[in-house]
Amino acid sequence: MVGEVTRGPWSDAWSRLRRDRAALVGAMVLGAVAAACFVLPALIGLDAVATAPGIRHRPPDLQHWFGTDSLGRDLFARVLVGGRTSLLVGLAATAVSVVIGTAWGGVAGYYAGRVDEFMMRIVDFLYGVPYMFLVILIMLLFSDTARGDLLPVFLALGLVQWLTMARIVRGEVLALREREFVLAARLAGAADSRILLRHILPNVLGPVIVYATLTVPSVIILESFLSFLGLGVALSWGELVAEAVSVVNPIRSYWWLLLCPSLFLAATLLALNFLGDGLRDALDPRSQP
Amino acid sequence: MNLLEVDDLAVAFPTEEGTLRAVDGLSLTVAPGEIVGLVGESGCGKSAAALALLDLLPAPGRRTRGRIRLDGIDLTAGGAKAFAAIRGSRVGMIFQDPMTSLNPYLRIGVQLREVAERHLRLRRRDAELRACALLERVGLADAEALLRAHPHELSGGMRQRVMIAMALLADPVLLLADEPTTALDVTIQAEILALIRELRRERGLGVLFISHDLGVVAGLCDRVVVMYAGRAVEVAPVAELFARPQHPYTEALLACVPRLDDDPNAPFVSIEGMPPRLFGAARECTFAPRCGRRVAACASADPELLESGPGRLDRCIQSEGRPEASRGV
Repeated sequence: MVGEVTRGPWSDAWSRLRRDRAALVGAMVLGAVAAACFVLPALIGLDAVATAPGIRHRPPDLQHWFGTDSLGRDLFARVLVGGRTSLLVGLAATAVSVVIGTAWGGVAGYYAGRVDEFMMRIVDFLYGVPYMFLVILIMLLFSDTARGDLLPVFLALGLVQWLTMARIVRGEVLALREREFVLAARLAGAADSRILLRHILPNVLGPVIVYATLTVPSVIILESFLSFLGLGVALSWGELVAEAVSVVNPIRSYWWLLLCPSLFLAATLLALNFLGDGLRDALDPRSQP
Repeated sequence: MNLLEVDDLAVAFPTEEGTLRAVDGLSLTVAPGEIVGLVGESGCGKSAAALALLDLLPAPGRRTRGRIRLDGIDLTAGGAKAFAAIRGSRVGMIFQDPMTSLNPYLRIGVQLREVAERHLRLRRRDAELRACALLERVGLADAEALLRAHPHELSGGMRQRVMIAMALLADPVLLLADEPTTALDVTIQAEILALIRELRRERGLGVLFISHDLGVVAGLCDRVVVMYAGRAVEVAPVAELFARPQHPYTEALLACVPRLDDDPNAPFVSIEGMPPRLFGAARECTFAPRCGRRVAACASADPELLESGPGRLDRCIQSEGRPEASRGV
């Protein structure tokens, strides 16, 4: 019972996760993709921008594993470097949405009543606004001054993704604030801020982490869609797909241009979904350790 | 002098159907070293009353009336600050479900230390030592290891002991116990009750023990306050209450307790109907609709809580010791 090794809810969750094959494979695929994108290009000297007019539209061969594009650039290098943007945008925008959503939902749920009504009506209103419209608006606001900067993308995508997070956290906190350990914390003399941060927040971290892993793929897709529309700011998987589509013609098919970035995108999204599923099961305290 | 004096306490919850009066004119006292039982069926306002005593009512509930005095100091006059000053320090509280009253994500030590750090201004190591001492006092061995444990590693009985240690950490003079043994099995329940008795003797602790279990109350309490529809309907020393209940509600509650020498084939006795949900002002005796002894006079006025013997009060117009003028029969 109370032995040398004290096992908390977190280590229970970890031991459950370790036994979930799909989640483990997901985590490994993610790790491999991330390592390839961030380390490999520098390691083996790949150049994503060097053009070579002589070797335009080459299909995959030993020299250029994924072939070359219409300017003779190496597609393998471009997919890896583009992956950096996609992964960064996915993580950073998710972080933005987690911070805003948790804070917003936490405060609304904890204070309940009128505060909750007011804050959640704002969320409802933002839900009603078409998110693409919001994203484009935010991107346009920032694009003059910071062209090529990823920060506006993080913000724009994070700002449209926090709504569901806020609703999830608000619901959890609303239930948790009625629990007796919150009364016990007030008996201990803890202030509201401490109760919310120290006593309630750890209890909502499970659902937050799980929803965050599901947010990452949707942000990556959103960013790809933006790039596809021509609103992207940097080389990313979405932009590569857009380029591939722009050279589609009835005479010759450059299939590798479309297939290679799409495969990376799909593998990453699938891995994230598996990991998210595994985390959801692992973090549910009702499941056995 | 009394440790706790509650006078005409009322708690209201605004609902869609109107204002629900969960507690409606409850008065009671607890002397130092006295264990007072507060009994009544679910929904009669026991817990709301206890939470109101510490200004811990869940929104939108609030105290609408009444005076609460601790050690002669009027808390209700001092407002939120006065309550914050005694909450958890002068007055400790333990709850019904030890599964939910400890935070599952925090180690026991963190939760205990918080109390000592806030209320006693102890430093981390001193707070830990004090927590250990209290854990050992409530009968938990290997206190150092317990501090590092998470609540789910402990049994229900151990958790309730931890809660008691937590409530006693700041050396309170009064302990509010809201059905502390309801979620425990009988043997553990007996141990916890013995612990409360010991602590009372040792520290002169006043205890307000909320329960719906008359068996527990009979064995533990000195005095009993029977609550119905948000207020006291009978107050009596424990032996007298069980020997000669005056209010028909008390009588009915006692009749509901199954006994070993009952005919095993007889149906369980219960009180017909539900406690009233109080919205408007009472115009008749609140128990009259469920009362087996009701007479015409019961419907004409809401009876007052009057003395019916030494140390005894009740709210029935037919009770024996009631002054002639207010008797209905």
